[in-house]
Amino acid sequence: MKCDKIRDLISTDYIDGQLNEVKTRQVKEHLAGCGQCSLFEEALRKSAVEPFKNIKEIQPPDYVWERIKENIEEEAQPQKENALVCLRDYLKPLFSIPKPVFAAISVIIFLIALTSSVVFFNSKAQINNYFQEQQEFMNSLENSSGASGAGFGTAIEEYFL
Amino acid sequence: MVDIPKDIVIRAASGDRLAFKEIYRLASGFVYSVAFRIANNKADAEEVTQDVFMQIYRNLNSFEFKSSFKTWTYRITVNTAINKYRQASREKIRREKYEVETARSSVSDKSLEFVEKESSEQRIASLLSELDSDQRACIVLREIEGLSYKELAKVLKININTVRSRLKRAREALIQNASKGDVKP
Repeated sequence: MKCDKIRDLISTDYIDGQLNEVKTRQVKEHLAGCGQCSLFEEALRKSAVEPFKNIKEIQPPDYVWERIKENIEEEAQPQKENALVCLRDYLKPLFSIPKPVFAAISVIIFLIALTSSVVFFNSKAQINNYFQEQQEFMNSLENSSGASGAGFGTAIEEYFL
Repeated sequence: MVDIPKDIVIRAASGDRLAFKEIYRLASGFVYSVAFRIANNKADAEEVTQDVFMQIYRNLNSFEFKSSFKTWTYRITVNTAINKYRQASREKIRREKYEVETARSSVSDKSLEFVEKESSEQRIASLLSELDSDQRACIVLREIEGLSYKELAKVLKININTVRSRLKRAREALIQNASKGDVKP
């Protein structure tokens, strides 16, 4: 096996004890005869393996558990039932609509309201005009019938009566 | 890797607080150790540990035992710690940039050097600080936690060959730094 392949194996499976018996023997035989690779293996163990040996597990301080416990208790507390909370929960879906959609809906509602009020006022003006015209017509009729006295209405009625 | 007993996990998932405390007792050591080695400082490690156990608490119901509980816990820990480390690095770069820009004309006593005996913990910290977060996670889980390549691949959700290549690069970086004299033997 070539040195670069041996070094790959030394850096990984060989040093971690993951190689099978056959390959382990091959690496050992190579190391016995190759000074460069042997030096590489020594440097690897010294710098990348031995410093991490016998490192003890570190325990967190006691207050870490206390903080976790507090967070759990806070999350587990039921919401106090009151009218405001109920109203908030009822209105919540409304506020969960994305802002652009909410804005678009508001604009549409505003435009409908504006259009409706314009139409309403226009139609009201038309009605007022109609009544005014009728009033004027009635006034004109009264004026013309007042001159004849009895005021029976049309000329043909006046002819026969 | 000795796993946390299944019945404890099931009881904790059903709301048994004592069972959850037992999970904390069994897992907090390795969670905190991994968090400390990856995040590289005590305060961040404490915060990561808290976050990890809150994530475990919230997601216990959805844990389906497809992998071992310990594998799942390691995964959450590594991801949370790496995110914390990256966030802290960005803040450190911003802070250092600010300090350079504002301290130009001031006479500072930052040139004072603190000479300390390097304890094995400090040595580990200085070794690991030379690695990127992915390499660091691999070395910590392999060298300190003793996970096999297969377990490493499951925790990190990567291919076994990727595990090999990260370990190889990390170890080569450690050799290089040692030869530069950055790390005292």
